[in-house]
Amino acid sequence: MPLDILMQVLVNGLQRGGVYILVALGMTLVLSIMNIVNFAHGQFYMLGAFVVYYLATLFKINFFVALVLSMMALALFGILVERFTFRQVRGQLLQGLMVSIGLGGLFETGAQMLFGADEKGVTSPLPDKINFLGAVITGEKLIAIGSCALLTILLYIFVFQTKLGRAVRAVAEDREAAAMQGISIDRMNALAFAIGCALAAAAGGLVAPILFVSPYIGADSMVKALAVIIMGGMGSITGCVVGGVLLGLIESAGLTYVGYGSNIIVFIIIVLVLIIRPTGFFGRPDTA
Amino acid sequence: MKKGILLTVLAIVLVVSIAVIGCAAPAPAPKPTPAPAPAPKPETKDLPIGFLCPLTGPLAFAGETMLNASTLAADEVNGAGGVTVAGQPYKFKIISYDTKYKTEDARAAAERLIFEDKVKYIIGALSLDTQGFQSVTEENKVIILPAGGSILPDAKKPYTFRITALVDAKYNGLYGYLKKNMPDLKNVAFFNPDNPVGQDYTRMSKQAAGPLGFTIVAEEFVALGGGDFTATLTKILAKKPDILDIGATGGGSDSALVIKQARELGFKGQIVAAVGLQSKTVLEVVGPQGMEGVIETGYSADDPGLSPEFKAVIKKYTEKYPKQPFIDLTSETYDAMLGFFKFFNGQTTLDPVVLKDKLAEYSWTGIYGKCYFGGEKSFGIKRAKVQPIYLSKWQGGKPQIVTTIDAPVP
Repeated sequence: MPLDILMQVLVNGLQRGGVYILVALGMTLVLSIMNIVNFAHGQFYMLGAFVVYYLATLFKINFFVALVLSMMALALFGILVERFTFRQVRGQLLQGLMVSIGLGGLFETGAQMLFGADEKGVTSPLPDKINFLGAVITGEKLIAIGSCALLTILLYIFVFQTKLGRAVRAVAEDREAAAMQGISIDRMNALAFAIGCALAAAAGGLVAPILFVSPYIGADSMVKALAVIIMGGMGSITGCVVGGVLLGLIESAGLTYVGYGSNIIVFIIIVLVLIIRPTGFFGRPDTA
Repeated sequence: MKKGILLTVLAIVLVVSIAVIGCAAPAPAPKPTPAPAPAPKPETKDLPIGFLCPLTGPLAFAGETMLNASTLAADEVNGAGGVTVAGQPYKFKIISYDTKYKTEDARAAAERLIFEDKVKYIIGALSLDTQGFQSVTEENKVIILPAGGSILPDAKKPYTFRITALVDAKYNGLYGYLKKNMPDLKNVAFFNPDNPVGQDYTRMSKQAAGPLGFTIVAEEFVALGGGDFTATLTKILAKKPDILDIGATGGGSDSALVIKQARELGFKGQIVAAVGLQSKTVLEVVGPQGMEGVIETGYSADDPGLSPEFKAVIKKYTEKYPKQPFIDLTSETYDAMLGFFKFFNGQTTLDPVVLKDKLAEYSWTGIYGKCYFGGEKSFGIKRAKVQPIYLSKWQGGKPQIVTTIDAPVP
């Protein structure tokens, strides 16, 4: 097993895993606070990537500024979406599911009509690449890995070290008890949805220079995020990080050393996790 | 006595005849004979033509450009008065449905065209689309003209006419060119999608490269759809190929990503594609530096090597569809559709059973030159469109035609 190949496997896996983590974090936040499996989450990822494309490539705004603006724009958009759709079906599992599926289709078709079906490339914010122990690390991958780590730490600090974060956790733990303590459920829902959308937008924006932007990039990311949540455990930041890194590394190693058939390894692991530990690695029994 | 009776009968007949004529209306005064009025021209009818292709999803670009090219050809024929079949004038009316590049959707759309819209001819369709509905069209005797790369002529499927140049012919031309012009290149790695099309392309490219002395060092299959291919490419590049053949990756975003990621991983060898790459997409995603030297079986719309007729069609297309790129699939579709629509003129029937045999013997001059359906010796039936193929090499940010391959299909 040559070292350069092994290192490349690690780099590829970490970059994949980092993006999976960001998408999964946003999704699990919405899931644990609002009890909604948001099937439109991948489309927020796609819209975030489009905002970065228009700002960074067409309007030549600095990539990092574009990324932050994209997160803000999608957070605001998320608040509107939560207010006018999901809030109307709160507590109704099937209705919430259907709304999210409908919104996903609407955003995808709308993006095709608005932006066109063709793929758009985002200019690399760091065109250089480095060679680390034989592995090639491109600038955009380095940025993606670093930004994913930074955003995960910031989310961790927000959830566990701030008053607002404690309120969010309280709603996730016990909605009624939190409401009796004077915490506004509506506001916490809106906040969770906004953060979830912002994280999805960040993931989409970070991937845009690595891959490309098109109306159809959202679906795959959402499936991977669900796999991460199942493995890591619902509502757990640590679970998302472990699940995301694990999924990224398994995919990278499998595709490099085995080939395409290796995808089955991921599914076998997911099935085993569901059988042996239905709550995932870090999920609590009551979230199973 | 007898003579008397006979005379009496004749007299009676005479009297009766005079009486009848006398009671009849007087004969009108003779008029000059008018010229016979021309028979009223039958009203022009619509001739419905079904169109099936992905119009949404990652391959929407292919469906859109094929639909545009078909519409352009139909408009041209309709604008010139349409066609006349058995004395009845017709204008073509294209009815299109989205297949989403899924076999089940393609089959449902074909059934709708055949049973609800009553079409007898279906155009468009990529490989997976065609695989989805071909059994329905053959069973119902509906002529189809798909563009799918892996759709080969089949004597058991006489209603299927392939409208794009055979991939085998493209690969033979491509590897023949590499052998002749780049003799130092020996090792080939294939990177294709994990579907029947990818399997077919790998088989065809091996058949072309193997006999010419190339060594196959890797064959990998991946799930397409805009993903991260670096893991698979890491595996491939560890085998040190001289040539990376990305045959069936579609020519769009997936092809672009493979090229981009291979270059990022340090691959400096020859990248080849038996498909026309979408210049706009590959330039957006890969950039001109990464594309330098890539060889494909497409061309640039502003290549000076194209004929004036070819350029005129590009001009017409870009005026009508300014936002749509003109790619090799556009020209191949336009060429085939114009020939197909004109083929109807002067036919005595619209019955596909009769027309399929006539179409097999039909030839026309299109923008590529003389086109016809070949393949009788190779496939037992003449159902593969034969046309010259362009081979282009990317230089200075766009492909430039380096040679034209005559690709007869015996």
